[in-house]
Amino acid sequence: MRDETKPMRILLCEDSLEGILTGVYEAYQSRYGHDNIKLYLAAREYELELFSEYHKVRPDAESSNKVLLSILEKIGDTARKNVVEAAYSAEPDKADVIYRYLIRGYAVGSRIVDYLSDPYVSRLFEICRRLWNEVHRWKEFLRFQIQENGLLTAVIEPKARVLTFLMPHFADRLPIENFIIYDKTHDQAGIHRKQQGWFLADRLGRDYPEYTALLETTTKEEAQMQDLWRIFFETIAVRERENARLQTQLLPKWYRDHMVEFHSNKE
Amino acid sequence: MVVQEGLSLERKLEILGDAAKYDVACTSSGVDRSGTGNSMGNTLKCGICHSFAADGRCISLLKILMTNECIFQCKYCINRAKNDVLRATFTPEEAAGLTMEFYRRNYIEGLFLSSGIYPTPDAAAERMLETVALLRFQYRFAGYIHVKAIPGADGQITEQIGWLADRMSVNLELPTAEGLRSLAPNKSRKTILTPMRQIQLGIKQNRQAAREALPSGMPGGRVLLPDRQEEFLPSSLECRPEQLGDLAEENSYTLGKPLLKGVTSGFVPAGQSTQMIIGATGETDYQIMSVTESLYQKFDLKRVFYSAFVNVNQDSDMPNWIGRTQLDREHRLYQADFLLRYYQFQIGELLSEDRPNFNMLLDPKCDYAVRHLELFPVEINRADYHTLLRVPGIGVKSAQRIVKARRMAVLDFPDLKKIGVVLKRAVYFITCQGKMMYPVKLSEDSITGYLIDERKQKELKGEQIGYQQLSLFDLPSMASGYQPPVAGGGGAQ
Repeated sequence: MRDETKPMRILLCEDSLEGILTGVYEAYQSRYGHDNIKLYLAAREYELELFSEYHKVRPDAESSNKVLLSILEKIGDTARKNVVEAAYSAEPDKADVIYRYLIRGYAVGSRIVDYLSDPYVSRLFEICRRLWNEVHRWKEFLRFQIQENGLLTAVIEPKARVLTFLMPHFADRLPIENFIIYDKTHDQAGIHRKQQGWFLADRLGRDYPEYTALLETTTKEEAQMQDLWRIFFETIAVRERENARLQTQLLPKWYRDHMVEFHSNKE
Repeated sequence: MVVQEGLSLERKLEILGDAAKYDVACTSSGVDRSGTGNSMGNTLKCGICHSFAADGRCISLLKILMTNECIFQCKYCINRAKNDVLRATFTPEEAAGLTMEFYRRNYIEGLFLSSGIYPTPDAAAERMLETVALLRFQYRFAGYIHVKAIPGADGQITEQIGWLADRMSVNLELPTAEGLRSLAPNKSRKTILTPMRQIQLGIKQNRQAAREALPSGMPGGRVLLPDRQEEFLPSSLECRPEQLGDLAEENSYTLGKPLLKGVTSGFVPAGQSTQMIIGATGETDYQIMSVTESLYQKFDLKRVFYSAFVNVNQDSDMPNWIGRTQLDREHRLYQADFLLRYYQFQIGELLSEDRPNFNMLLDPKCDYAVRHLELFPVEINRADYHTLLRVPGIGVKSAQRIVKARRMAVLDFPDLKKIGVVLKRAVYFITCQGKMMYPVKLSEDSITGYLIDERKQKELKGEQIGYQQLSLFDLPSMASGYQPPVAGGGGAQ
């Protein structure tokens, strides 16, 4: 129950798994009452709400890990997975949804994942579904270029932080290649070394802008290969069945910025 | 015949991609194979589309012909022998090289290889085998490969291709033997069904062997369908058992061993598919879907694809492209195909000799529901899974979610919306705790009126149509005293 004598307390969390889970930890520790607390993302701009107090949450690995462990123990692995995925999504309300989901989860345990008629459970489920849809789309639409030294480079501009989920896919698929996938939106790079696994590197663009520019260079041989792909792409469409609406529905335009078949090399 | 020496790779790709584009199947699904750490590629059970062409069709595989030279005279094919078109042929190195270059760049999931018949069926099949072997052995390619079996080619070549490909398909081409005779004089039901049966038996034996190789007590693979002793295809379609009698001895076929060991996961692990051309000959939807049903049941096919006929050769005695109508029909066939594969429907429930064609105004599932109103409405909180699946607007996933979610709480309409049920369609056929969402009059005509989509309604209103159909939109007077839930049949949003 909301206690009207207390001002609403809004915890501003950093947009990361650690940030959000630290927020959850602090909300529990404060014993201020779940109905008197909301979790917002700090990076977003909100209209200030009257009679509310704002607290900034400093991300803390220890608190965040405690929460993760307790989810695993008391709610289960599926719930832990869902919470992690939701934290990587691009949905603005994710921090508060995770918090409310966990409150319910601690009450009922592992069965929480089936409470689809609960608004927060179904919203979390929706957030995860959106994240996986976007991850799947990038598995489809990401394009590599091959640089002179044989390095494969790709640039993407995703809404969610998809690299964590994309890298295992491409590492399994291309174990014998060196490749870099650069997430321009979040300034994060996934780096895979031939038969040695992968890691993520933050702030590549801020620290080495000339390097991220190199990732988008196209060599002459590469341009030829891209031309071949464009030829195939143009040829394969059946003219009688042309349907731009269907094409856009299946391949939304914002994914096309880095897809070779939608751009010509001549410009 | 125009033969041109020294075509560039670009030109070849243009000619041989263009020639392959009428093949429908572009799926890369059906097999999960993780990377091995030292080869190139993997496959995902769900498949991956890598692009969508201007016609909205998915591009998943590099779909090419090995050659468009052909000794056959199929009337529907642009590459038939007598046509005056530019001919080209890939070398196995070129085809395999392109596949690898495209794959590394994440343009494709793999290769879909088909071929004209030239100079003989065996030679064409051998060249395809060579290409696939190059990919699997020299390039250590572990991505997806789909190969068309060549009708009339030596079974041994087909078998070796099967050990290297993930999926194989043999085009049935036309739904009836009669149609095949008139349009594809060089092909016969027998040359098509022989490799189809061979691949089916090969897959079965390979799976059996794999299961027996497992230590006892371990769960085996998929349960195999029992052998069916009936004729291969329904007799009404001129495919009587005696006609295919000599095929029956193919049942004694024994799958041989792969000549070389490599990066494969068994014999045609993603199963086989086929495709039919729709609308070139006069068969009804009922005939087509009956053939489909028997292909699924008797040949264990994974997929049947339908391709609306395009008169590429401008033959005056063949039907012309009539656009939308043809695509709508194709769409209905795919919808019905889904009902057979995932919704436990049988074709006899959807169509009959007396109603041989699909309703163009309603999708097959809605059509079934409005003709079986005695089965509805069903109670969401009690109906079993099978019954839920029959409700328009409830798919496989939402039916599963309903069954799970109602264990935790009593479900109401807003919950269904969250679960993913399309209430717009489902609302006429369901109750939650004994109540319908709106007071709906349960009659075939009134519900049909609400379900027909808006585009169709507009089309119909602009046309001269018979009274019977018009009456569907004449709802206020028909259902007097009762207000439709939402104007325009849009349903609950």
